[in-house]
Amino acid sequence: MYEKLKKSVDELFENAPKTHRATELREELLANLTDKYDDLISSGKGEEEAFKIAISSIGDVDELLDGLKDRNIFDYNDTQKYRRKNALVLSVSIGLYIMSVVILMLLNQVFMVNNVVSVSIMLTIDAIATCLIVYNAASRPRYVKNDDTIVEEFKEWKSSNNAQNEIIKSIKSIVWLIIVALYFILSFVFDAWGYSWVIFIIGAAVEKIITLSFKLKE
Amino acid sequence: MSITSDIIRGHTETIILAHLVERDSYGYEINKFIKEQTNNKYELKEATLYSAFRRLEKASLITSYWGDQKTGARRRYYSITELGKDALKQNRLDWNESKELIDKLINGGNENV
Repeated sequence: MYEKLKKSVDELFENAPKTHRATELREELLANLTDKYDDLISSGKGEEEAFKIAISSIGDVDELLDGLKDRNIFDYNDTQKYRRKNALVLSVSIGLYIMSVVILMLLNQVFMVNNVVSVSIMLTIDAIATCLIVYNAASRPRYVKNDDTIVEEFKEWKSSNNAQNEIIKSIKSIVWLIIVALYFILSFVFDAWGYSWVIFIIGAAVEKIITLSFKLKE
Repeated sequence: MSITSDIIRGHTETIILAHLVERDSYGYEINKFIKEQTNNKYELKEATLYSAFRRLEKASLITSYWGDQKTGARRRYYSITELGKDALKQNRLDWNESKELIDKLINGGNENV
């Protein structure tokens, strides 16, 4: 008779989405029905009658299965909150980028500070701005798969891919920033304008290496 | 009896919370508790029960875990969260308030008519 119960429950879930949650629900339902059936038997009911009572107590299965399809992952409020934060962080970082150039000119032209020192200060400000952007991209709410269908897997893949792309982009921008700064520092300090351009070729190679290392990690 | 069923069904979540606040429990036990408390007059359909569980879980009012039965199918246990306890407190207040109001409205403020 337990087999019969299991079969009935399996039949109910025939049209359910094939997901982890559905499997769990089926297991939970079966456990409860088995308990109920055992209770009915020990209270003196016949096997057939107990089976019928147990099955009829399930009720409207569609109501149950509908709950499995319902997936509202991104809360509207959360998305809004994130957007606002996102905009704020972005504007602050862009502001920092612009400010850094102003500070460089001020230090160089007005306060006559040494080239290396003023460029270093500019780079530090740029680094802070870039860190902010990277942090913002990394802390973006991730799309969490709550279903085992291909569509869900695709959405998750796309979401994680986007987040990763943001990080790669930020790293690359940092690298190029450093390269440009190095180009000026080396050229000014050693007066090596003749061959310091080689650094840009090295930079291109470094960029490829970064892309490759991320791809390999996958 | 049909009115009673409707009213009970409308408070499924609160009934579940009221049971879970005593101790962790699983679906069948909760339903048996309802049946016993109502002198076998009323019992929830499984579907209604699970829908309520899912809603409560989604609202973080309860959490669930699988028990480790030696024999037979595994049971899924539910346990109330702090948020759930707060919700239960509020629901009890709401219920008592509406009970009084409906009493006044239906019995005209005189219960002995």
